[in-house]
Amino acid sequence: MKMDRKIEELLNSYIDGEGSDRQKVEVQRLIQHDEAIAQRLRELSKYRNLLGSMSRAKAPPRILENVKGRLEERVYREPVYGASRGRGAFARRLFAAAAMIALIGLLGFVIYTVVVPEGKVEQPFLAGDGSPSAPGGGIVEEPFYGRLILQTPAGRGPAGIEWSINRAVEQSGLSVFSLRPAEGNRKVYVLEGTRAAVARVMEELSKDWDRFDSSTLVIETDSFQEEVVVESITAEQVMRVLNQGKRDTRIMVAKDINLSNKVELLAPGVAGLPGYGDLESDTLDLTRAPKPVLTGKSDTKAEGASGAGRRGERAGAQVHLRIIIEPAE
Amino acid sequence: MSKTSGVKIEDRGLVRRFKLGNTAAMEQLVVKYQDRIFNVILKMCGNSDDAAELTQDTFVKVIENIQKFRGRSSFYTWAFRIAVNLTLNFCQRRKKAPARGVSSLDWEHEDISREGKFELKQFLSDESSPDPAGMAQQKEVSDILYKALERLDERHKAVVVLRDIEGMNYKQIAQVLELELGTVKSRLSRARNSLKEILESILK
Repeated sequence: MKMDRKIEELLNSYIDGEGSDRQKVEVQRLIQHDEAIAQRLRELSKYRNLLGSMSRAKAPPRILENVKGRLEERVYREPVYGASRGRGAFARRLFAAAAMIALIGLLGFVIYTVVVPEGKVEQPFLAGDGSPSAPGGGIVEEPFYGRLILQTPAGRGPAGIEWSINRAVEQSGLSVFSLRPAEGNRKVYVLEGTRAAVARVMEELSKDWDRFDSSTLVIETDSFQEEVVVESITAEQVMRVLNQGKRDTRIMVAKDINLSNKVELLAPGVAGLPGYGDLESDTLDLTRAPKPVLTGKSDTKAEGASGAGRRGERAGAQVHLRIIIEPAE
Repeated sequence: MSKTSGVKIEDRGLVRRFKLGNTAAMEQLVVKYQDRIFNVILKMCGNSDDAAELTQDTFVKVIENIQKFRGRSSFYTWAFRIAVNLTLNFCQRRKKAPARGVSSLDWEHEDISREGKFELKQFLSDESSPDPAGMAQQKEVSDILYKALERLDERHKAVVVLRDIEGMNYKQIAQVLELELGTVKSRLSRARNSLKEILESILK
């Protein structure tokens, strides 16, 4: 006997534990008064349990390795004309994107070498007392404003790291150092001084870098009212960014590092290969030069403000860096 | 806190770390879900080599699109949505151009084990509700169930596999298949009915 569709659905919901209380009561009433419905319910249960008892297949070994291999392939596969027709359009797109990126990279390199004379980038100012000195000839110094967000593993606060920072700051000769009141398990260190002084702090912090779950540098800008975010940044990379005297160059270097880190995430080991530069791909959905992009969720509390109001408060310092240490949620 | 909520919170943490560049978090997610996704894909497509390929496709797509994942649904349903969509597309392409070696749907010529048919018939007609676990895991019976699933309409197959094999609730199925709850209920009811008819025709 063909059962009514509504009753069928009711019975199915009942055996799946999905019906409302009223529906459950209704089904119980039906099966008590109608043997055909009770029989149908038993039948449905049986088929459902049979399927549910099928053995669960395990994934073959090396799924993860194969996935990583395929991601690597996608980043570095070169278009081969005359190859499978199905891939021709993709190959052309990839080639066009790679050509555009190479051109942008070349342009960026030319601007970089023209604007920033060799030798002055690494150490333009070496003030041991923390006070800024006038820039050398030709470079217009633009102070750095930003924050470095370091996450410790969930459930573990920044204890231990705090000691490292305090020691590093004492030895660095920074002109200003303050520790804002802690917010829960979150500690904020405000560092202001020369690059050399901040570099000494970063060098000290780098010894503990592998204790962090994640490390993100956020560069505050005022021209686009947007921030540039560099994810998975290392201490050495932080200094590479901070050492750029000009804001535009700094942003370019930051984005380059961000791309490199993202490719490293998708295809480990690949970013270090020669020839790798500002590699971008629509397929990989990475940031697009030259517009700065806000990615991910940075801290959105008071520290998230663009900082425009603070400009000029500590005139003369080359670097204004807030280090925020918080446990992952 | 229910087990489901605990799983969701753990996934959220892993996804967040993954998005911030933590490779280990990404690997944990792959290892955590690879068996379940493979199992569902295998039950839907019926071929383990294809299922392995599709599982890898799924994770490649998950990794490439992780920055687009906004957390409106759980990572679990989002990953399964990708897996199911890839598998449904694959099955449709395969139907249009069947490759060599794909099992025929012509039951009369299939070498279906008599023993399996007998065991299954006994089980289904037994009024005493015997334990299905031992039954379903016999290879002969399992082959029959696989073949019956293969015979199902793709949309019915998806909903039955997600519910009865993966164990998703209706809400999760609705998110994975992007359907209304009511549609999930009616489709599941029809799917189970179809499956019953298919099994009966095999066991005749």
